[in-house]
Amino acid sequence: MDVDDDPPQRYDDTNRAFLQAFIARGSLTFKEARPILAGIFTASGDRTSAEEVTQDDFDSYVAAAANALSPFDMEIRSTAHQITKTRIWAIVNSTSDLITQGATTRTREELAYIKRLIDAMFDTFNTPRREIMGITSMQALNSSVRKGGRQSLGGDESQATQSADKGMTSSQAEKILNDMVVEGWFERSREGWYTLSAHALMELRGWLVEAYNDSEDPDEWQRIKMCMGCSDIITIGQRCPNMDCNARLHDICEATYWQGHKTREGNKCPKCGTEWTGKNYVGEKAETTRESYQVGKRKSGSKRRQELVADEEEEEENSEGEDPDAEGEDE
Amino acid sequence: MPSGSRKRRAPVEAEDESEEEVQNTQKARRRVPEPAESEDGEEDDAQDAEDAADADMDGNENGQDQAVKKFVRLAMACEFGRVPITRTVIREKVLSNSNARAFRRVFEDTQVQLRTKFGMEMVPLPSRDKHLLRDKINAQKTNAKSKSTQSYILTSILPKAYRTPTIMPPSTVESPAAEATYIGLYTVVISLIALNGDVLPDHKLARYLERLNADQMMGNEKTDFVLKKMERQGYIFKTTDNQGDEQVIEWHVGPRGKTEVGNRGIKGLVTEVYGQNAPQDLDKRIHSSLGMEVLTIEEVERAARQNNREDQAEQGESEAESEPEPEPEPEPEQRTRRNRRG
Repeated sequence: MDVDDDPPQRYDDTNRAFLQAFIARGSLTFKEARPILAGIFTASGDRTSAEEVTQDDFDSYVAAAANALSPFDMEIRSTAHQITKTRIWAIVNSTSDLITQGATTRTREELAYIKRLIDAMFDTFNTPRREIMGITSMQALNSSVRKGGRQSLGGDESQATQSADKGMTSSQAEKILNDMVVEGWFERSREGWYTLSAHALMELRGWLVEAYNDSEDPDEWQRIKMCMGCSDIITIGQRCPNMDCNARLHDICEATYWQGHKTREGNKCPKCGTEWTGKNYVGEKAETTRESYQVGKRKSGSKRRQELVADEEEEEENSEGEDPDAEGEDE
Repeated sequence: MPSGSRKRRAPVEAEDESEEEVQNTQKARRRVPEPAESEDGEEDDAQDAEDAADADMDGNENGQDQAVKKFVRLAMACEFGRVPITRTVIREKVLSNSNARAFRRVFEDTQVQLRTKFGMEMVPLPSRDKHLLRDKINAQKTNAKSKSTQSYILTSILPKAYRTPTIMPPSTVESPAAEATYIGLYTVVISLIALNGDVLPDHKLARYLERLNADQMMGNEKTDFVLKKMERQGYIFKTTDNQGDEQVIEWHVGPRGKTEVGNRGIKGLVTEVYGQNAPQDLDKRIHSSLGMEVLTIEEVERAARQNNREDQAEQGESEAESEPEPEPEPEPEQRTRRNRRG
């Protein structure tokens, strides 16, 4: 079977192979896709190197795959990584139903813990004054998150059935955190914050809005907000200095956005007219730029910093091993 | 495939455009599984059969599409968790209240969708062999009714050329490294069991694992846990028999193990382990250890080779194209599957 790029588009083994490769990986960047497509073209008899695979090739295969998936309520979404700006494509379920909810290798307890982690990211550590939308490993291993017990927000009906949930031990929780990073659902920043990955944000977009935004009023503060530039969910970026304003912007969208919204008096928030400083942050910077955090960091003997470092080392050394002394309560 | 079912699905309008066909996504009935197989004169039959079928289904074409859609989603979800797709689950989640006849049609249509779009299909899992006397007796008793508790798993039907690690990595359901480790481990365990005549006493398995330094931990998991997982996913299963006051635990190759790894996967592993130093008659020895007639496997291989395209004929020698390539190394090291043929 040959690759035929002429319309009408054909759907052959190369497309099927690409779709299988895509499904196996869950998400793809163009860079990751190039050797795959090169392998596929070569297998079909057309010897190709990774460098020879063009964006057009990739786009046409993504489009064909999306077309093939659409009747099954699956779609391919793409988004730019909030920091690196790398574009990422992922296969996403457009509807969540009983059938696909079974598609997990996690136990009920593990899922409940992951849910509590996400609750912590978007509720506990996402307040109007401090939109961190992330969680440090110390916070994630805190017994209140590990064991649950705190009533979670976000229309959680499963809470009632979780009565028998014993929660996670520290080492179990640590393993989950590590797994979530390896599997590409969480990302871990250099400063030690776990956030949802671009893939997870794409997958959970609808659910996050539904679960955490309870106000109908667009002027009221919302937990989940969209970037003014790209309209995707923002968890890392800039915010309007006006604490009551919902305007948010990705660092990576900034340049293009202000180009299109030039005013004579510099950059003004398009919603409330407050001067946009670019120094009010969403994400871990909302915490790390705070005076108290900075002070704590400068003091070399700071308890907080030490704990963070210790925690980091521990995780690298034993992702599995003994129960680490991670009970250290967050201040 | 019974010709009847093919006829029913054979559309009147679209005989040889199965490739472009796929674009036409909303009309499940219009798809042709094998192009150019419709003959003249079949059209009327097809039309009749379709009308009749429509009557059966209350003319609800949409319902059929919905069922196929659900079925495909179910198949993907099951495969993700390495859970077999059982008839019970299909009835429950896909068909809700339809009759058995609808099952056949929905199943066939789903297969067409899986083949044309995903390059996959559902293959029936072989049933567990009966190893214990009481099981055999029970089986004989119930044999009269021979209930079909059939279950299926998804497998790729793409030509072997597409099954290189660059294209098909160990899936990222867990991390690729963990997945590769797991693939290697179950291939080894299955091979050990199969080469022992599909019966391996528990203590013997433990001894093998000890030699591989895998008796306590397999990769990053406890050995017991990994064996349980293999058991749950149908790679292996164990039987417990009480002989007097002694409890005999034996391991056997499970349905998924037979389908996914199979004799060819085992052979691949053994060949890889022997490497350069393989004795001349290794193939023969493997066959007899696996309890296969030499003649049979040669026939199987010849058939497999014929199925392969010419350019893959050489590669098809040791394994047929329907097997996923197992990690050939017995050590539970973290490495990805590699392409043995370079």
